[in-house]
Order: sequence, then C-alpha cells, then structure tokens
Amino acid sequence: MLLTFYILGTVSVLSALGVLVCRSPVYSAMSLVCSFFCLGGIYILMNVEFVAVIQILVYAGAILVLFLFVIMLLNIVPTGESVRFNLPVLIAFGIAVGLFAQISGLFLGDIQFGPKDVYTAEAISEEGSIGLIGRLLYGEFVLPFEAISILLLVAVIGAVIIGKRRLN
Amino acid sequence: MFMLPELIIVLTAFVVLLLDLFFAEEQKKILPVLALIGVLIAMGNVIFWMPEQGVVFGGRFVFDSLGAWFKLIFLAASGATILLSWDRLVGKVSDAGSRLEHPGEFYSILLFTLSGMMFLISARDLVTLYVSLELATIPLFVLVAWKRENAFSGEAGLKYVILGILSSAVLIYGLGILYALGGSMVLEEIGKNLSPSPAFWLATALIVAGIGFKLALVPFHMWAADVYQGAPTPITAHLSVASKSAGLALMFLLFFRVLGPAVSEWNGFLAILATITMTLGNGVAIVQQNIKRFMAFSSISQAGYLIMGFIGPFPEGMPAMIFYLLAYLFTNLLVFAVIVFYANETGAEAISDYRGLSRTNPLMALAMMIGLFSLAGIPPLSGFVGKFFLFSVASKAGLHWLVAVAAVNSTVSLYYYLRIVRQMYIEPAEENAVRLPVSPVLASTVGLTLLGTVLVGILPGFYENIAQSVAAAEWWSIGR
Amino acid sequence: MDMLDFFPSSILQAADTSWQTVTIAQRASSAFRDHDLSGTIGYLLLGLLFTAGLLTVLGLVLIYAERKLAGHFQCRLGPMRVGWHGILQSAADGLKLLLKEDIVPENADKLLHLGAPVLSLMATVLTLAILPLSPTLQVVDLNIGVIYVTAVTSLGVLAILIAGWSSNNKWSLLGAMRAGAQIISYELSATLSLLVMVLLSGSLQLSEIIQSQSDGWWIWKSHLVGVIAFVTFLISTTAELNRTPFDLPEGESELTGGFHTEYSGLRFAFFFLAEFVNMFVASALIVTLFFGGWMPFYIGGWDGFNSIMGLIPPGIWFAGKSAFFIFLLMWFRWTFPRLRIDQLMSLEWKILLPVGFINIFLAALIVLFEWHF
Repeated sequence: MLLTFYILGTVSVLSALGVLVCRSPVYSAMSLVCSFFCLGGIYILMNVEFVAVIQILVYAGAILVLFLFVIMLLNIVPTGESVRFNLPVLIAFGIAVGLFAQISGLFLGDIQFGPKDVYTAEAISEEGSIGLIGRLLYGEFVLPFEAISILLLVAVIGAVIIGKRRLN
Repeated sequence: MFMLPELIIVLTAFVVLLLDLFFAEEQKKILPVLALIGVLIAMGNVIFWMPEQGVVFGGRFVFDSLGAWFKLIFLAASGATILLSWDRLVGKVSDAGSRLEHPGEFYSILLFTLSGMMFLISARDLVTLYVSLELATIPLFVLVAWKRENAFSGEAGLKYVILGILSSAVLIYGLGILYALGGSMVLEEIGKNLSPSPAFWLATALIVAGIGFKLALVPFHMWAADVYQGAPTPITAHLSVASKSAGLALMFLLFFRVLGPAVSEWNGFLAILATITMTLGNGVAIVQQNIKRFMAFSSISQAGYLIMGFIGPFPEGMPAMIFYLLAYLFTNLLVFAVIVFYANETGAEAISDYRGLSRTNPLMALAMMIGLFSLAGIPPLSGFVGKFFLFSVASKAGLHWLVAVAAVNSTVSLYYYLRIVRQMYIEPAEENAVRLPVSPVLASTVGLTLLGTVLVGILPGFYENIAQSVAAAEWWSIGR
Repeated sequence: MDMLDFFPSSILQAADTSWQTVTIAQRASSAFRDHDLSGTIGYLLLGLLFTAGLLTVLGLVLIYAERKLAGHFQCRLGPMRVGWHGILQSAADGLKLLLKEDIVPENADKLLHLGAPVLSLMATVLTLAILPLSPTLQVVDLNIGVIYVTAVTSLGVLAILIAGWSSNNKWSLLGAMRAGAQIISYELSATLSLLVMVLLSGSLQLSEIIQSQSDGWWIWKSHLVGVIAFVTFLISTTAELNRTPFDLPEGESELTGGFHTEYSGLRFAFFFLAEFVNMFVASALIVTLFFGGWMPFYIGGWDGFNSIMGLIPPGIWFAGKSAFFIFLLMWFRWTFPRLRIDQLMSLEWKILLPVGFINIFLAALIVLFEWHF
C-alpha cells in the first residue's frame, strides 16, 4: 500500500514537473494526463473510488481533450525558449517555495479537515462514498450546488455571446 | 421564505432568458420592464422583511437587517444599471457604437450577478461564500466584454477575466488555509478556532490581496482603469457601484466574522491601506482625459474612503460605511447617468467633449454638477454627510492623521471634479452645438438618482435606521 | 484451491437468478486472506489471462463476423478460402499484420505516434475487466462500475487525438478532430442514458444493476423511459464507436483513413482491435443495463417455459444477447448512409440531448413516486 502510494506520488510529481519542462504543449498536456492518472490512483488507495473516477473522467477525459483540441487547432509550435532566471522569476519562485513550505508545515502539524469522526473509513464503506457525497451535495450544500448550476449556465451563455460568429 | 428576494431575482432572470427565445425583435422591448419589475418586487420584499431575522438551510443562509441594507444597495444599483442600459439595448441611441445586442441575455446575466451578490452577503460558510462570490463576478466578465467587436471592450474583458481569476485563486488559497486552521466550513466556527500563527498571517495576506483586487484597492487596482474604460458605460456604472459594494460585503464577512476575533488591531493596517488608495486614486485621476478612466480612479479613491468604515472598535464604523455606500450609490449613478446620456447621443468619452454642456442641456449639466459636488463632498449633499460620518469614525479611533489626509484628499478631488464643471460651464460650446434629446428613461434615471443624492443627505433618519440595523444584526450577539 | 474447476462449472451451470456475484478479484483477495499465496497469484494471473484471452477471441471472432456479414449484406459470400467458410481468415489477417513492415512517418512525433495505439487498446482492456459476463466471470466488480466505464472509454478520445496529431498528416489531424468532437458530444447523451438506468436500479455497480432486473428487465419494467434511454444510448454509442452512419472520422472518401492513415502493421492492428472490442463493450453494456445481463428470459406465469430458459447457463445468455446487439451494430453499418457533419452535430445537440434531459427528469419522477413495476 505504502509502496504503491510512493510510486504513484513520485510519478505524479515527476509528470507535473514534466508539464512545466516540456517544450511541446502536447507533451505538457500528456504529462498532465499522466499526473491526473496517478492522483486518481492515490484516491483509490484512500478508498474514495468515486473521486478517483471523476478525476479521470473530468480531467483526463474532458478538460484535457479540450486542451489538446485547442493546442492542435492553434498549431502551436514549440518555441525552444527555456525558463530564464531573471529577478521576477526568482521572486515568483521564492514566493512559491514559501507557500509550499507553509502548506507543508500545516499538513505536518496536527490539523483536521472537516468535522471530526464523521467521515471515517467505516462510515464511507458503510454508505459508499457516492452516497455520502450525494447526501452532502443535496443536503447541506444544496445552495452552493444550485448556485454553481446557475454559474455554469451563465458561463455557457457568455461563451456563446462572446464566441458566436456575427450574423449579418 | 427569507430567501424569497434572491429566488425572485433568479426566477426573473430565467423568465427574461426564456421569453427572449420566443419574442420577436420588436417585443424584446418589454424585457427591461420585466427585469425592472423583478428587481422592484425583490426590493419590496427585502424592505418588508428588514426588521426580521431568518435562517435558511440550517444557518448557511442568514437574512438579517444589516444584510438587508446591502441587498437594497445591490438591488438599487442593478435596477439603475437596467435603466441606464435600456436605451442601448432597445436601439434608441443616436450613436451606433453605443448600441448593445442580445437584450435577453444581457438582462438575465445582470440579474444572475445580482443574485450572486445577494447570496454573498447572506452566506455563512466558506463554500456558499466562495460560490456566490464567483456567481457575482463571473457574469461581470461577460458583461464587460459584451461589445466584443470593439477592441477596448475585448481587451477589458480579457484583463478582467485574467486578473479576476487570479484574485479568486489567491483568495481561495487563503480560504483553504483558513479551513485547515479552523477545521470548519462555518464562518463563525472558524473565527472561534483561529489564533494568530504564521499560517494565519499568510491566509490573511492572501485574503487581503484577493479582496483588494475585487475592491480595486491600491496596490491591486491596476485592472480598474482599462476595464472601466473598455466596458459598456452602464456596466462601468455597475462595476463602480454594485461590484464595489459586493467587495465590501465580502470584506465585511471575512474580516469580522472570521479574521476579526483573532486580530485585535486592524486600525493601523486599514488606515495605511485607505491612505494609499485614496491618495493614489486622486493623484492619477487629475491627469485623466477620458471620462470613464477618470471615474475609475475616482471610484478607487472612493473605495479608500469606504474602507475607513472598518476602522475603530468594530462595528462602530459600519453604519457610517453603509451610509456612505448609499450616498455613493446615488451620486455615482447620477454622474454615470449623465455620462451614459452623453455617450448615447454623441459617443464622446473625453472630458473635453463636455464643454458647453450647460448651454445645450442646462438641466443635465446641473445634475452632473450636483453629482460631482456630492462626490467631492460639498455640503449639504449626501456625499458630504457620508464623508463626515466616515471621518468621525477615524477620529473616534484616534487616527487624527488619517482624518487630515482624507480631508486633504477631498480637497484635491474637488479640484479635478471641478475640471469637468469648468468644461461644462465656462468653456464655450462648439459653434454648431444643438440641444441633445434626452430619452424619457434616462431623464427619469437622472431624476431618481438626483433625488437620492439630495435626499439622503438632507432627510434625517437614514443614519439612525442603519445604525439600529447594525446594532440589531445577528452577528452582534455571536461576534466578539 | 483448484482454479480450473470453477471455470466450466460457472459457465455451464444452469442459470439461477438468485446467484451471488463472485468475481475473480474477490476470489484472489479471499485467497490472500487465507494466506494462500499460490491461490492469490493464480487468480490474479487468471484475471489477466481472462482479459487478454477475451480480447484475442473477440478480435478474431468479430472481425470475421463483420467481414462475413458485410459479404452477405452485399450478396457476396465474404471470406471463403482460409479454413471452412473462411473461418481462419482473421487469424491469417492478424499474422499478416504482425509480419508487415511498421512504418513511422519521417516527420511524425515518434514517441506519441508509437504510444497512441497502446493507449487506445489500454482504454478498451480496462473496460473489459469489469464486464459481468456471468455471475462468476467478472474480473473486478467496482462499486462505481458505470462511471468507471464512462471514464475509461473517454480515454480512447485522447488516443485518437494523439494519433491524429502525431502523424503529422492533415487527413489524420482532420479525422482526429472530427472523432474528438463527435465522441465528446455524444458522450453526453450516452452518459445521460446511463444515468437513467442508474436512477432506476439505484446502483452504479454492474452486478447490482443486473440483480435489480431479476424480476424483469429494465427495458420492460421502466415504461417508456427505459426504451427512450435505450434508443438514445444505442445511437450515441454507435457515434462513439465511430461506426457508420457516424463514421466521419475515417470517412474514406474524404479523409483516406482518418486518424489512422499513417499507421501500418501491428499498430494499425491495435486500433482495429480496439475498435472491434469497443463494439463488444458497448453491446455488453446495453445488455447489462437494459436487457438483464446474464439473466435468462422469463415470462411471468409460464413455469414450464421459464424452467427451460433457466437451463441455459448465464454465460451463454450474456453471449447471445451481446451477439444480437453486435449484429445490430453491424447491420447499421451496412444499411445506413453516412451523415454530414452538421447533421451529426444537430442530431446530438438539438435532438438527443434535450430528449435525454427530459428523459432523466421523467426517470427521476418515476423513481421518486415508484411508478415502475
């Protein structure tokens, strides 16, 4: 179990790095797919198969396909530019490292996400992760859930309005 | 049932969107009427329930009198935006470049962002808060880029999207850390569990940056001028009033429900933020030539005054802030109504284009002058009264230097507001200038906002009412 | 533990609707719990072998079936030379493809060009693993089976897009673009139909969906809702398979071979195999969701008839039902003319999707008020 986690974690981090390092956007996108796959694997290790599958379905199956579509349609050629270390990049790098250190510090400390002793492994396996997620989405969080649906509608309308070809 | 105003707005938006599908081009003129009726009903609803308090969804949505004031401001600002954009959407403008298309989609998106703002001030947990914030901002990206064939509008939309998303990312990073520290989604619970630590300060910094973007506080104001200039003018008005009020609502919720209990001393920090915001806004406004860019920097400096309301032993300053927001709402919309009127007829946006307006349209020029004077804070207009209350908050908190800075800034602002008055009253009109026709809708908008600008300052009772609402609001018993 | 004995017994045992599902993965884990190392490894190997064997057998059988059917639809005999009635034709074809020169275009993106067929086949194999061919013939039984199928099949699009782009050929790219647009669009209504069945059966687990049909298949039980879902699923799954009348991605008269124009030899065989096995996966899903999976065909009250039907083992039921739908898909191919791209898109977005939305709404009502039988 632990070994699987480390393998998946390492591959995930390496392919996330690949997204940044690869010069060809298509390779970057494929590295991202690989990274998402490993994340999906880690979710399965955590017994939340639903999240794992949704991760693959939504990211690898839908969003990355759209990315690839755009990349291929735009026919972006690799520029051959590499990252230069000038001052702004260094500052951004510093901030990123600082944030990372801070977040890791948080996780290493004794923090508890969410209410204690409610979503234990037993509770999840008893009702199934989908049941629990569904109960939360349509129970406690129904207001933001519905608000998101309006938000998506607005996004669709906006995309059509802005992207539509002009009718003469 | 306390969610009824929001539901009415969402329902109206859907009705407008659906009717747009079935209506012929000629019939679409009724859509703004429908949208306005929805807003008015919701407004009546909010006023009806104002004295009460109600909880929906187990405390995730709370209606209180303080939130009701915010909701009224959002509703009034959106109603005014509907009025301002009316002529442009039904095609009754002389300047073809000002015309806007797709009325059904325009009004429904406007109403959706309004509903997002109203959900925002009632939200009591992080998820609802963040989702309603996005519901309030994402539709604005679309509205800003509505005239996409116009290069300025497209640029504004792009800038607004990218910086808006960036600020949301920064904000949610901060909220995520708060969730980890507080161990709860509920704002009050997080507030109770927090204590100052490095992670807490990191979260605070990220949240301040996120809110700073939304409110266009210096140094997060870079997007404002370009976006205000490129957006269709009614949307600029909406951004400068409704969006700013939503930013204040967000700041209020996060600062004083979540971060407040852990931090005892905000005043110095807020005073510095207010000082640099108003000073830079004023300083840059002096040299602007385009009236929309000018109003952008003017509204940046106004935001500087507004956040003075957070100073002091909380919530002493809140009534002053809400009162000033009310005054700012009417005043700014009055100025924008005249700008929209002028742009509708001529398409002109430069300050120098306004010369001689008092000869051709004396009433419009007078309204504009009153609005500008109120923005500058000249008694007895509402802007002066509002500033008076705000400055007294700072002075009560012992920040006399801030009062001095703000007073100096007000004087400076008078100088550049007078630049426009000079163009209208002293500079001669063009040789062949004729009287520009005023559409009934815009005339009534100007009339209503003018009435508001004057009455809010003169009528007693507004401030007392707001102060009572603030004192009675639900958080007061739970808060610190 | 003798693993050889469950194979014949499970396949040939008479169908009994009260059967409990015992998957190969469950056998492996129970062997693991009993510290039976050889059993664990044996069952794991069995699972692998089963999937690989199924892939091979399906490839051989389906390609032969398609060629033979095509022949008869066109009043020809089809392959006749290799073996009795050409029965060894696919094996001979496979051998030929294996021995063919594997050409990679000079300007192609080598790594992705080589990787795409593997990714395509991988997506297919991953779905094979969870298909419940009979109560005991299922490699794993995930509790999120239906979403898993959707997720994994959506990876096939990635493979096609990568194949088209990396070939550095305009026909390939155009074909890949068409395939991508088509699959993404039709995936929506396919998923909506799947969700209708999930609503009705109350589970995402394929074995449970089958068990929920022990008193009647969903196509009968669910009034019109199931029928509409079945029809939309059939249409959209045909489109997802890129088969005629939706075979624009490889419309040979305009795009040479579509996304696999530049592929030859074994790599072409991979795409080909994936396409045919996907057809089986689609049919197997239709059978599982709408036609009772491995359940026998019973008629209420006809005890004699039912007992005869019950004698037929579940594996055979499943195979027979799937064979029927595979035949249906092949029948489509040799009957319908190809759609134009705009017709294809308006069929999905203006007809199937709204119908799907209304259907899922009706299904929710039916489930809420328990109107189904």
